[in-house]
Amino acid sequence: MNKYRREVSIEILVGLFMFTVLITLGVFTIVLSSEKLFEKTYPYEFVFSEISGLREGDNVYVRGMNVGRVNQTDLEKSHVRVYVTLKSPLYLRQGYKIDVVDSSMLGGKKLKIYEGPNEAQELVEGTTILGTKPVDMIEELAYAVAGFQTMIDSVNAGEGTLGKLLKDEAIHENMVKISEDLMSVISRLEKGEGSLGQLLALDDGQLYTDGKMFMNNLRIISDNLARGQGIMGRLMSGDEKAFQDLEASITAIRSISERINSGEGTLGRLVRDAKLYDEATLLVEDIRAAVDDLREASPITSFGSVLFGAF
Amino acid sequence: MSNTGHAVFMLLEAIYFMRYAFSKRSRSETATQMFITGIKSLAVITVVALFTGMILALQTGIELRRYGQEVYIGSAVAVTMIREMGPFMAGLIIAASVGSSIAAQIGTMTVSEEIAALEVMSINPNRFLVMPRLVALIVMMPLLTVYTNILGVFGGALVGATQLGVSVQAYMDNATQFATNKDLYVGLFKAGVFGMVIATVACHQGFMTRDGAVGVGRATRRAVIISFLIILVLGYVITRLFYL
Repeated sequence: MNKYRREVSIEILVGLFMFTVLITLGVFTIVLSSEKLFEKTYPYEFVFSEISGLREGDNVYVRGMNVGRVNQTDLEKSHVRVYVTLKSPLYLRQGYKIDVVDSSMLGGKKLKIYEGPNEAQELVEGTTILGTKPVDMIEELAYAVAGFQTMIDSVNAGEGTLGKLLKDEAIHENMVKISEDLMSVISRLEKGEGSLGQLLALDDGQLYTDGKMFMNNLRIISDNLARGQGIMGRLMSGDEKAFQDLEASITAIRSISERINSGEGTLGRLVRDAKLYDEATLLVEDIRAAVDDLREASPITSFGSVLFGAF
Repeated sequence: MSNTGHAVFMLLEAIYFMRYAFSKRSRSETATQMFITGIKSLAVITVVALFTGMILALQTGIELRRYGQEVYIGSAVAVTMIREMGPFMAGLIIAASVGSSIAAQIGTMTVSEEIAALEVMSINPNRFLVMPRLVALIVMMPLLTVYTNILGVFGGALVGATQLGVSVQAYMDNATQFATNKDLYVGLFKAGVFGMVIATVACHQGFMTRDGAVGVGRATRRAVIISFLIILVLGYVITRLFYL
Protein backbone atom coordinates (compact mmCIF):
# COMPACT_ATOMS: atom_id res chain seq x y z
CA MET A 1 0.00 0.00 0.00
CA ASN A 2 2.82 2.32 0.93
CA LYS A 3 4.60 1.54 -2.32
CA TYR A 4 1.39 2.32 -4.23
CA ARG A 5 0.96 5.60 -2.41
CA ARG A 6 4.55 6.53 -3.07
CA GLU A 7 4.14 5.78 -6.78
CA VAL A 8 0.99 7.87 -6.95
CA SER A 9 2.60 10.80 -5.17
CA ILE A 10 5.59 10.61 -7.53
CA GLU A 11 3.27 10.58 -10.53
CA ILE A 12 1.30 13.51 -9.14
CA LEU A 13 4.47 15.53 -8.55
CA VAL A 14 5.87 14.76 -11.98
CA GLY A 15 2.52 15.56 -13.61
CA LEU A 16 2.22 18.80 -11.67
CA PHE A 17 5.73 19.82 -12.64
CA MET A 18 5.11 19.02 -16.30
CA PHE A 19 1.76 20.80 -16.31
CA THR A 20 3.23 23.91 -14.68
CA VAL A 21 6.22 24.07 -16.99
CA LEU A 22 4.11 23.49 -20.09
CA ILE A 23 1.75 26.33 -19.11
CA THR A 24 4.80 28.52 -18.46
CA LEU A 25 6.19 27.54 -21.86
CA GLY A 26 2.91 28.59 -23.46
CA VAL A 27 2.97 31.97 -21.72
CA PHE A 28 6.64 32.38 -22.59
CA THR A 29 5.85 31.67 -26.25
CA ILE A 30 3.07 34.27 -26.29
CA VAL A 31 5.29 36.84 -24.57
CA LEU A 32 8.16 36.26 -27.01
CA SER A 33 5.92 36.52 -30.02
CA SER A 34 4.63 39.85 -28.59
CA GLU A 35 1.07 38.83 -29.36
CA LYS A 36 -1.71 40.52 -27.43
CA LEU A 37 -4.49 37.95 -27.69
CA PHE A 38 -7.38 40.15 -26.65
CA GLU A 39 -6.20 43.48 -27.99
CA LYS A 40 -7.60 45.02 -31.16
CA THR A 41 -4.88 45.64 -33.73
CA TYR A 42 -4.75 47.52 -37.04
CA PRO A 43 -2.84 46.00 -39.96
CA TYR A 44 -1.16 48.27 -42.55
CA GLU A 45 1.00 47.77 -45.63
CA PHE A 46 3.80 50.07 -46.71
CA VAL A 47 5.73 49.91 -49.97
CA PHE A 48 9.45 50.70 -50.01
CA SER A 49 12.03 50.68 -52.77
CA GLU A 50 14.36 49.12 -50.18
CA ILE A 51 14.23 48.60 -46.40
CA SER A 52 17.90 48.66 -45.38
CA GLY A 53 17.77 45.63 -43.06
CA LEU A 54 14.34 46.20 -41.47
CA ARG A 55 13.06 42.86 -40.27
CA GLU A 56 10.13 41.16 -38.62
CA GLY A 57 9.63 42.19 -35.02
CA ASP A 58 11.15 45.68 -35.44
CA ASN A 59 9.23 48.46 -33.73
CA VAL A 60 7.01 51.08 -35.34
CA TYR A 61 7.05 54.61 -33.89
CA VAL A 62 4.53 57.42 -34.39
CA ARG A 63 5.33 60.78 -32.75
CA GLY A 64 7.96 59.04 -30.59
CA MET A 65 5.57 56.35 -29.32
CA ASN A 66 5.99 52.66 -29.92
CA VAL A 67 2.68 51.75 -31.56
CA GLY A 68 3.38 48.37 -33.10
CA ARG A 69 5.68 45.97 -34.86
CA VAL A 70 6.72 44.85 -38.30
CA ASN A 71 4.96 41.56 -39.04
CA GLN A 72 6.38 40.57 -42.38
CA THR A 73 8.55 41.84 -45.21
CA ASP A 74 8.01 40.57 -48.74
CA LEU A 75 10.40 41.09 -51.62
CA GLU A 76 8.32 41.84 -54.74
CA LYS A 77 9.28 42.53 -58.33
CA SER A 78 10.35 46.16 -58.01
CA HIS A 79 9.81 46.96 -54.35
CA VAL A 80 9.54 45.60 -50.83
CA ARG A 81 6.17 45.35 -49.13
CA VAL A 82 6.22 45.75 -45.34
CA TYR A 83 3.28 44.53 -43.24
CA VAL A 84 2.88 46.08 -39.82
CA THR A 85 0.40 45.68 -36.99
CA LEU A 86 -0.38 48.78 -34.95
CA LYS A 87 -2.11 49.14 -31.60
CA SER A 88 -3.96 52.27 -32.74
CA PRO A 89 -5.33 53.42 -36.11
CA LEU A 90 -3.09 55.55 -38.32
CA TYR A 91 -4.40 58.75 -39.94
CA LEU A 92 -1.98 59.67 -42.69
CA ARG A 93 -2.27 63.05 -44.43
CA GLN A 94 -0.73 64.50 -47.58
CA GLY A 95 2.98 65.09 -46.89
CA TYR A 96 3.31 62.00 -44.65
CA LYS A 97 6.71 60.31 -44.35
CA ILE A 98 7.64 56.76 -43.41
CA ASP A 99 11.34 56.19 -42.75
CA VAL A 100 13.46 53.19 -41.86
CA VAL A 101 15.89 54.54 -39.25
CA ASP A 102 18.50 53.10 -36.87
CA SER A 103 16.94 52.12 -33.55
CA SER A 104 20.17 52.66 -31.59
CA MET A 105 23.90 53.25 -31.93
CA LEU A 106 24.45 49.52 -31.62
CA GLY A 107 22.32 48.77 -34.66
CA GLY A 108 18.83 47.52 -35.36
CA LYS A 109 16.14 49.29 -37.33
CA LYS A 110 12.74 50.77 -36.67
CA LEU A 111 9.97 52.34 -38.69
CA LYS A 112 9.34 56.02 -37.98
CA ILE A 113 6.04 57.40 -39.22
CA TYR A 114 5.29 61.12 -39.65
CA GLU A 115 1.58 61.51 -40.34
CA GLY A 116 1.87 64.79 -42.29
CA PRO A 117 0.91 68.40 -41.47
CA ASN A 118 -2.26 68.82 -39.38
CA GLU A 119 -3.94 71.08 -41.93
CA ALA A 120 -3.22 68.73 -44.86
CA GLN A 121 -5.85 66.53 -46.43
CA GLU A 122 -6.20 62.98 -45.15
CA LEU A 123 -5.28 60.13 -47.51
CA VAL A 124 -8.13 58.33 -49.20
CA GLU A 125 -8.64 54.79 -47.93
CA GLY A 126 -6.97 52.23 -50.15
CA THR A 127 -4.14 54.53 -51.21
CA THR A 128 -0.81 52.75 -51.52
CA ILE A 129 1.36 54.08 -48.71
CA LEU A 130 4.90 54.67 -49.90
CA GLY A 131 7.94 54.65 -47.62
CA THR A 132 10.98 56.83 -48.05
CA LYS A 133 14.14 55.20 -49.37
CA PRO A 134 16.44 54.80 -46.35
CA VAL A 135 19.79 56.54 -46.22
CA ASP A 136 22.69 54.13 -45.96
CA MET A 137 25.17 56.03 -43.80
CA ILE A 138 28.10 53.77 -44.68
CA GLU A 139 27.39 54.19 -48.39
CA GLU A 140 27.11 57.97 -47.98
CA LEU A 141 30.36 58.00 -46.03
CA ALA A 142 32.04 56.00 -48.79
CA TYR A 143 30.84 58.58 -51.36
CA ALA A 144 32.12 61.41 -49.18
CA VAL A 145 35.52 59.74 -48.78
CA ALA A 146 35.71 59.10 -52.53
CA GLY A 147 34.91 62.76 -53.24
CA PHE A 148 37.48 63.88 -50.72
CA GLN A 149 40.07 61.60 -52.32
CA THR A 150 39.32 63.10 -55.77
CA MET A 151 39.75 66.57 -54.29
CA ILE A 152 43.10 65.65 -52.75
CA ASP A 153 44.24 64.13 -56.05
CA SER A 154 43.34 67.29 -57.98
CA VAL A 155 45.08 69.45 -55.38
CA ASN A 156 48.14 67.23 -55.63
CA ALA A 157 48.02 67.59 -59.41
CA GLY A 158 48.02 71.40 -58.98
CA GLU A 159 44.50 71.82 -60.38
CA GLY A 160 42.07 74.50 -59.22
CA THR A 161 42.72 77.50 -57.00
CA LEU A 162 43.83 75.45 -54.01
CA GLY A 163 46.04 73.24 -56.16
CA LYS A 164 47.69 76.28 -57.77
CA LEU A 165 48.08 77.90 -54.39
CA LEU A 166 49.95 74.87 -53.16
CA LYS A 167 51.88 74.05 -56.31
CA ASP A 168 52.46 77.34 -58.24
CA GLU A 169 55.92 78.82 -57.46
CA ALA A 170 54.94 82.37 -58.52
CA ILE A 171 51.99 82.38 -56.10
CA HIS A 172 54.25 81.03 -53.43
CA GLU A 173 56.78 83.82 -54.01
CA ASN A 174 53.98 86.41 -53.96
CA MET A 175 52.75 85.03 -50.68
CA VAL A 176 56.27 85.22 -49.25
CA LYS A 177 56.59 88.83 -50.47
CA ILE A 178 53.18 89.75 -48.98
CA SER A 179 54.24 88.14 -45.75
CA GLU A 180 57.50 90.11 -45.69
CA ASP A 181 55.67 93.36 -46.44
CA LEU A 182 53.19 92.68 -43.68
CA MET A 183 56.04 91.99 -41.28
CA SER A 184 57.66 95.28 -42.27
CA VAL A 185 54.39 97.20 -41.74
CA ILE A 186 53.86 95.56 -38.36
CA SER A 187 57.43 96.39 -37.39
CA ARG A 188 56.91 100.07 -38.29
CA LEU A 189 53.63 100.14 -36.39
CA GLU A 190 55.39 98.69 -33.36
CA LYS A 191 58.04 101.37 -33.56
CA GLY A 192 55.34 104.06 -33.69
CA GLU A 193 56.28 105.21 -37.17
CA GLY A 194 53.72 106.86 -39.48
CA SER A 195 50.30 108.23 -38.55
CA LEU A 196 48.80 104.86 -37.65
CA GLY A 197 51.88 103.92 -35.67
CA GLN A 198 51.76 107.20 -33.72
CA LEU A 199 48.10 106.68 -33.08
CA LEU A 200 48.78 103.18 -31.76
CA ALA A 201 51.83 104.31 -29.79
CA LEU A 202 49.76 107.04 -28.08
CA ASP A 203 49.03 105.06 -25.02
CA ASP A 204 48.01 107.86 -22.65
CA GLY A 205 44.31 107.28 -22.98
CA GLN A 206 43.74 110.56 -24.84
CA LEU A 207 42.38 108.79 -27.90
CA TYR A 208 39.97 106.88 -25.73
CA THR A 209 38.91 110.03 -23.86
CA ASP A 210 38.38 111.97 -27.08
CA GLY A 211 36.46 109.16 -28.61
CA LYS A 212 34.29 108.87 -25.51
CA MET A 213 33.65 112.62 -25.47
CA PHE A 214 32.74 112.54 -29.14
CA MET A 215 30.33 109.73 -28.53
CA ASN A 216 28.83 111.58 -25.55
CA ASN A 217 28.30 114.67 -27.69
CA LEU A 218 26.69 112.60 -30.37
CA ARG A 219 24.43 111.03 -27.78
CA ILE A 220 23.44 114.46 -26.39
CA ILE A 221 22.64 115.69 -29.90
CA SER A 222 20.61 112.60 -30.66
CA ASP A 223 18.81 112.91 -27.29
CA ASN A 224 17.98 116.54 -28.03
CA LEU A 225 16.73 115.61 -31.46
CA ALA A 226 14.65 112.86 -29.96
CA ARG A 227 13.19 115.22 -27.33
CA GLY A 228 12.43 117.79 -30.04
CA GLN A 229 14.81 120.41 -28.64
CA GLY A 230 16.40 122.99 -30.96
CA ILE A 231 15.29 123.80 -34.47
CA MET A 232 16.29 120.45 -35.92
CA GLY A 233 14.68 118.68 -33.01
CA ARG A 234 11.46 120.60 -33.36
CA LEU A 235 11.45 119.96 -37.09
CA MET A 236 12.07 116.24 -36.56
CA SER A 237 9.49 115.99 -33.80
CA GLY A 238 6.85 117.28 -36.22
CA ASP A 239 6.41 120.74 -34.60
CA GLU A 240 4.00 122.38 -37.07
CA LYS A 241 4.80 125.97 -36.00
CA ALA A 242 8.56 125.52 -36.45
CA PHE A 243 7.92 124.04 -39.83
CA GLN A 244 5.68 126.95 -40.84
CA ASP A 245 8.28 129.47 -39.55
CA LEU A 246 11.00 127.76 -41.54
CA GLU A 247 8.80 127.68 -44.62
CA ALA A 248 8.01 131.39 -44.23
CA SER A 249 11.72 132.19 -43.78
CA ILE A 250 12.64 130.22 -46.89
CA THR A 251 9.87 131.96 -48.84
CA ALA A 252 11.17 135.39 -47.67
CA ILE A 253 14.78 134.50 -48.57
CA ARG A 254 13.64 133.33 -51.97
CA SER A 255 11.71 136.60 -52.49
CA ILE A 256 14.77 138.66 -51.50
CA SER A 257 17.09 136.66 -53.74
CA GLU A 258 14.63 137.04 -56.64
CA ARG A 259 14.52 140.81 -56.12
CA ILE A 260 18.33 140.97 -55.95
CA ASN A 261 18.52 138.88 -59.06
CA SER A 262 16.10 141.15 -60.89
CA GLY A 263 18.19 144.21 -59.88
CA GLU A 264 15.67 145.70 -57.47
CA GLY A 265 16.80 147.62 -54.36
CA THR A 266 20.32 148.71 -53.40
CA LEU A 267 21.77 145.21 -53.32
CA GLY A 268 20.05 144.35 -56.61
CA ARG A 269 21.47 147.44 -58.25
CA LEU A 270 24.90 146.69 -56.79
CA VAL A 271 24.67 143.24 -58.33
CA ARG A 272 23.13 144.22 -61.61
CA ASP A 273 24.23 147.95 -62.34
CA ALA A 274 27.77 148.11 -63.84
CA LYS A 275 27.89 151.92 -63.61
CA LEU A 276 27.20 151.85 -59.92
CA TYR A 277 29.95 149.27 -59.60
CA ASP A 278 32.42 151.57 -61.42
CA GLU A 279 31.41 154.54 -59.27
CA ALA A 280 31.78 152.49 -56.14
CA THR A 281 35.23 151.42 -57.33
CA LEU A 282 36.22 155.04 -57.98
CA LEU A 283 34.89 156.00 -54.55
CA VAL A 284 36.94 153.32 -52.89
CA GLU A 285 40.02 154.51 -54.79
CA ASP A 286 39.39 158.12 -53.68
CA ILE A 287 38.95 157.07 -50.08
CA ARG A 288 42.15 155.00 -50.21
CA ALA A 289 44.07 158.12 -51.63
CA ALA A 290 42.63 160.39 -48.95
CA VAL A 291 43.65 157.93 -46.24
CA ASP A 292 47.18 157.74 -47.69
CA ASP A 293 47.45 161.57 -47.71
CA LEU A 294 46.25 161.68 -44.15
CA ARG A 295 48.80 158.99 -43.09
CA GLU A 296 51.66 160.98 -44.78
CA ALA A 297 50.57 164.28 -43.16
CA SER A 298 50.02 162.72 -39.79
CA PRO A 299 53.67 162.84 -38.52
CA ILE A 300 54.02 166.59 -39.43
CA THR A 301 50.72 167.34 -37.70
CA SER A 302 51.82 165.39 -34.68
CA PHE A 303 55.19 167.18 -34.54
CA GLY A 304 53.49 170.60 -34.85
CA SER A 305 51.05 169.64 -32.11
CA VAL A 306 53.91 168.63 -29.80
CA LEU A 307 56.04 171.63 -30.66
CA PHE A 308 53.37 174.28 -30.51
CA GLY A 309 51.14 172.58 -28.03
CA ALA A 310 53.08 174.00 -25.10
CA PHE A 311 52.29 177.47 -26.23
CA MET B 1 34.52 2.41 -32.09
CA SER B 2 32.78 -0.79 -30.99
CA ASN B 3 31.67 1.07 -27.87
CA THR B 4 30.06 3.71 -30.03
CA GLY B 5 28.32 1.06 -32.09
CA HIS B 6 27.02 -0.64 -28.92
CA ALA B 7 25.77 2.70 -27.60
CA VAL B 8 23.94 3.48 -30.86
CA PHE B 9 22.23 0.07 -30.99
CA MET B 10 21.30 0.39 -27.34
CA LEU B 11 19.78 3.80 -28.06
CA LEU B 12 17.86 2.58 -31.10
CA GLU B 13 16.47 -0.36 -29.14
CA ALA B 14 15.46 1.92 -26.27
CA ILE B 15 13.74 4.25 -28.74
CA TYR B 16 11.92 1.25 -30.13
CA PHE B 17 10.73 0.34 -26.62
CA MET B 18 9.60 3.88 -25.90
CA ARG B 19 6.09 2.99 -27.01
CA TYR B 20 5.88 0.98 -23.77
CA ALA B 21 7.04 3.86 -21.62
CA PHE B 22 3.65 4.42 -20.06
CA SER B 23 2.45 0.80 -20.16
CA LYS B 24 1.34 -0.73 -16.89
CA ARG B 25 4.70 -2.50 -16.41
CA SER B 26 6.95 0.47 -17.14
CA ARG B 27 4.90 3.46 -16.02
CA SER B 28 6.04 3.33 -12.45
CA GLU B 29 9.73 3.18 -13.33
CA THR B 30 9.35 5.93 -15.95
CA ALA B 31 7.58 8.17 -13.44
CA THR B 32 10.27 7.49 -10.85
CA GLN B 33 13.03 8.37 -13.28
CA MET B 34 11.18 11.54 -14.29
CA PHE B 35 10.83 12.43 -10.64
CA ILE B 36 14.55 11.86 -9.99
CA THR B 37 15.58 13.77 -13.11
CA GLY B 38 13.09 16.62 -12.86
CA ILE B 39 11.89 17.27 -9.34
CA LYS B 40 15.03 16.24 -7.44
CA SER B 41 17.24 18.41 -9.64
CA LEU B 42 15.16 21.54 -9.15
CA ALA B 43 17.07 22.86 -6.14
CA VAL B 44 20.48 22.80 -7.75
CA ILE B 45 19.11 24.05 -11.08
CA THR B 46 17.38 26.96 -9.31
CA VAL B 47 20.64 28.20 -7.80
CA VAL B 48 22.70 27.66 -10.96
CA ALA B 49 20.12 29.29 -13.30
CA LEU B 50 19.52 32.27 -11.06
CA PHE B 51 23.21 33.03 -10.68
CA THR B 52 23.94 32.38 -14.36
CA GLY B 53 21.40 35.07 -15.28
CA MET B 54 22.76 37.42 -12.62
CA ILE B 55 26.36 36.98 -13.77
CA LEU B 56 25.39 37.48 -17.42
CA ALA B 57 23.47 40.65 -16.56
CA LEU B 58 26.28 42.03 -14.42
CA GLN B 59 29.04 41.34 -16.94
CA THR B 60 27.20 42.68 -19.96
CA GLY B 61 25.70 45.53 -17.94
CA ILE B 62 29.14 46.75 -16.80
CA GLU B 63 30.35 46.88 -20.40
CA LEU B 64 27.14 48.38 -21.80
CA ARG B 65 27.11 51.06 -19.10
CA ARG B 66 30.23 52.58 -20.70
CA TYR B 67 28.07 53.48 -23.67
CA GLY B 68 24.99 54.31 -21.61
CA GLN B 69 23.19 51.29 -23.08
CA GLU B 70 22.71 49.16 -19.96
CA VAL B 71 19.02 48.79 -20.78
CA TYR B 72 20.14 46.26 -23.40
CA ILE B 73 21.05 43.71 -20.70
CA GLY B 74 17.47 42.46 -21.09
CA SER B 75 18.04 41.32 -24.63
CA ALA B 76 21.59 40.11 -23.89
CA VAL B 77 20.51 37.91 -20.97
CA ALA B 78 17.27 36.67 -22.56
CA VAL B 79 18.82 35.75 -25.90
CA THR B 80 21.90 34.13 -24.32
CA MET B 81 19.86 32.14 -21.81
CA ILE B 82 17.19 31.00 -24.24
CA ARG B 83 19.50 30.12 -27.10
CA GLU B 84 22.48 28.62 -25.34
CA MET B 85 22.98 28.96 -21.62
CA GLY B 86 19.63 27.49 -20.56
CA PRO B 87 20.00 24.13 -22.32
CA PHE B 88 23.75 24.08 -21.73
CA MET B 89 23.58 24.71 -17.98
CA ALA B 90 20.68 22.31 -17.54
CA GLY B 91 22.59 19.69 -19.57
CA LEU B 92 25.73 20.04 -17.45
CA ILE B 93 23.84 19.82 -14.17
CA ILE B 94 21.81 16.80 -15.24
CA ALA B 95 24.89 15.07 -16.70
CA ALA B 96 26.78 15.64 -13.45
CA SER B 97 23.96 14.64 -11.12
CA VAL B 98 21.55 12.30 -12.92
CA GLY B 99 23.98 10.95 -15.58
CA SER B 100 26.59 10.02 -12.99
CA SER B 101 23.93 8.41 -10.83
CA ILE B 102 22.61 6.33 -13.77
CA ALA B 103 26.14 5.20 -14.69
CA ALA B 104 26.91 4.25 -11.08
CA GLN B 105 23.60 2.40 -10.63
CA ILE B 106 23.81 0.39 -13.87
CA GLY B 107 27.57 -0.08 -13.37
CA THR B 108 26.97 -1.60 -9.94
CA MET B 109 24.26 -3.81 -11.39
CA THR B 110 26.68 -4.92 -14.10
CA VAL B 111 29.58 -5.79 -11.78
CA SER B 112 27.23 -7.57 -9.43
CA GLU B 113 25.87 -9.50 -12.44
CA GLU B 114 22.31 -8.24 -11.97
CA ILE B 115 22.15 -7.36 -15.65
CA ALA B 116 23.17 -10.91 -16.54
CA ALA B 117 20.44 -12.18 -14.21
CA LEU B 118 17.86 -10.01 -15.99
CA GLU B 119 18.95 -11.44 -19.33
CA VAL B 120 18.71 -14.96 -17.91
CA MET B 121 15.12 -14.12 -16.90
CA SER B 122 14.51 -12.91 -20.50
CA ILE B 123 14.06 -9.36 -19.34
CA ASN B 124 15.56 -6.97 -21.85
CA PRO B 125 17.76 -4.54 -19.88
CA ASN B 126 17.30 -1.90 -22.57
CA ARG B 127 13.57 -1.94 -22.05
CA PHE B 128 13.72 -2.37 -18.31
CA LEU B 129 16.56 0.02 -17.47
CA VAL B 130 17.51 2.21 -20.43
CA MET B 131 14.12 3.13 -21.90
CA PRO B 132 12.59 4.70 -18.71
CA ARG B 133 15.75 6.75 -18.15
CA LEU B 134 15.87 7.81 -21.79
CA VAL B 135 12.21 8.89 -21.72
CA ALA B 136 12.70 10.69 -18.42
CA LEU B 137 15.70 12.64 -19.68
CA ILE B 138 14.24 13.45 -23.11
CA VAL B 139 11.02 14.73 -21.51
CA MET B 140 12.50 16.42 -18.48
CA MET B 141 15.47 18.17 -20.06
CA PRO B 142 13.34 20.62 -22.13
CA LEU B 143 11.11 21.26 -19.11
CA LEU B 144 14.11 21.93 -16.92
CA THR B 145 15.47 24.20 -19.64
CA VAL B 146 12.28 26.29 -19.63
CA TYR B 147 12.65 26.54 -15.85
CA THR B 148 16.34 27.50 -16.22
CA ASN B 149 15.50 30.14 -18.84
CA ILE B 150 12.85 31.76 -16.69
CA LEU B 151 15.03 31.83 -13.59
CA GLY B 152 18.01 33.13 -15.60
CA VAL B 153 15.97 35.97 -17.07
CA PHE B 154 14.57 36.70 -13.62
CA GLY B 155 18.12 36.75 -12.15
CA GLY B 156 19.15 39.24 -14.84
CA ALA B 157 16.15 41.45 -14.03
CA LEU B 158 17.12 41.32 -10.35
CA VAL B 159 20.65 42.55 -11.08
CA GLY B 160 19.35 45.11 -13.59
CA ALA B 161 16.92 46.59 -11.07
CA THR B 162 19.22 46.55 -8.04
CA GLN B 163 22.71 47.12 -9.50
CA LEU B 164 22.34 48.80 -12.88
CA GLY B 165 19.29 51.00 -12.50
CA VAL B 166 17.29 49.26 -15.23
CA SER B 167 13.63 48.94 -14.31
CA VAL B 168 12.01 45.52 -14.56
CA GLN B 169 9.55 46.88 -17.14
CA ALA B 170 12.35 48.24 -19.36
CA TYR B 171 14.31 45.03 -18.89
CA MET B 172 11.37 42.84 -19.90
CA ASP B 173 10.44 45.06 -22.85
CA ASN B 174 13.99 44.82 -24.11
CA ALA B 175 14.21 41.09 -23.41
CA THR B 176 11.08 40.29 -25.40
CA GLN B 177 12.07 42.66 -28.19
CA PHE B 178 15.01 40.61 -29.41
CA ALA B 179 14.33 37.02 -28.27
CA THR B 180 12.11 35.06 -30.63
CA ASN B 181 10.13 31.85 -30.48
CA LYS B 182 12.68 30.27 -32.79
CA ASP B 183 15.34 30.89 -30.15
CA LEU B 184 13.13 29.30 -27.51
CA TYR B 185 12.24 26.18 -29.47
CA VAL B 186 15.71 25.60 -30.89
CA GLY B 187 16.93 25.76 -27.28
CA LEU B 188 14.32 23.21 -26.21
CA PHE B 189 15.22 20.93 -29.10
CA LYS B 190 18.83 21.20 -28.04
CA ALA B 191 17.88 20.28 -24.48
CA GLY B 192 15.99 17.18 -25.70
CA VAL B 193 19.05 16.08 -27.67
CA PHE B 194 21.24 16.66 -24.62
CA GLY B 195 18.87 14.52 -22.55
CA MET B 196 19.12 11.71 -25.06
CA VAL B 197 22.94 11.98 -25.06
CA ILE B 198 23.18 11.95 -21.25
CA ALA B 199 20.93 8.90 -20.94
CA THR B 200 22.73 7.01 -23.71
CA VAL B 201 26.25 7.77 -22.45
CA ALA B 202 25.40 7.08 -18.80
CA CYS B 203 23.60 3.77 -19.52
CA HIS B 204 26.29 2.66 -21.95
CA GLN B 205 29.08 3.43 -19.49
CA GLY B 206 27.12 1.53 -16.86
CA PHE B 207 26.82 -1.54 -19.06
CA MET B 208 30.54 -1.33 -19.94
CA THR B 209 31.64 -1.33 -16.29
CA ARG B 210 34.29 -3.85 -15.34
CA ASP B 211 36.56 -4.49 -12.32
CA GLY B 212 34.20 -4.07 -9.41
CA ALA B 213 33.90 -0.89 -7.35
CA VAL B 214 36.89 0.77 -9.01
CA GLY B 215 35.29 0.15 -12.38
CA VAL B 216 32.03 1.76 -11.17
CA GLY B 217 33.91 4.90 -10.16
CA ARG B 218 35.71 4.95 -13.51
CA ALA B 219 32.45 4.46 -15.42
CA THR B 220 30.81 7.30 -13.51
CA ARG B 221 33.70 9.66 -14.24
CA ARG B 222 33.78 8.68 -17.92
CA ALA B 223 30.01 9.11 -18.23
CA VAL B 224 30.20 12.69 -16.94
CA ILE B 225 33.23 13.66 -19.03
CA ILE B 226 31.92 12.14 -22.27
CA SER B 227 28.49 13.73 -21.71
CA PHE B 228 30.08 17.15 -21.16
CA LEU B 229 32.15 16.86 -24.34
CA ILE B 230 29.25 15.68 -26.49
CA ILE B 231 26.98 18.42 -25.08
CA LEU B 232 29.55 21.07 -26.02
CA VAL B 233 30.10 19.71 -29.53
CA LEU B 234 26.39 19.15 -30.22
CA GLY B 235 25.59 22.60 -28.84
CA TYR B 236 27.80 24.12 -31.50
CA VAL B 237 26.50 21.85 -34.27
CA ILE B 238 22.83 22.57 -33.53
CA THR B 239 23.45 26.32 -33.30
CA ARG B 240 25.33 26.18 -36.60
CA LEU B 241 22.50 24.17 -38.14
CA PHE B 242 19.75 26.62 -37.18
CA TYR B 243 21.46 30.01 -37.28
CA LEU B 244 23.89 29.91 -40.20
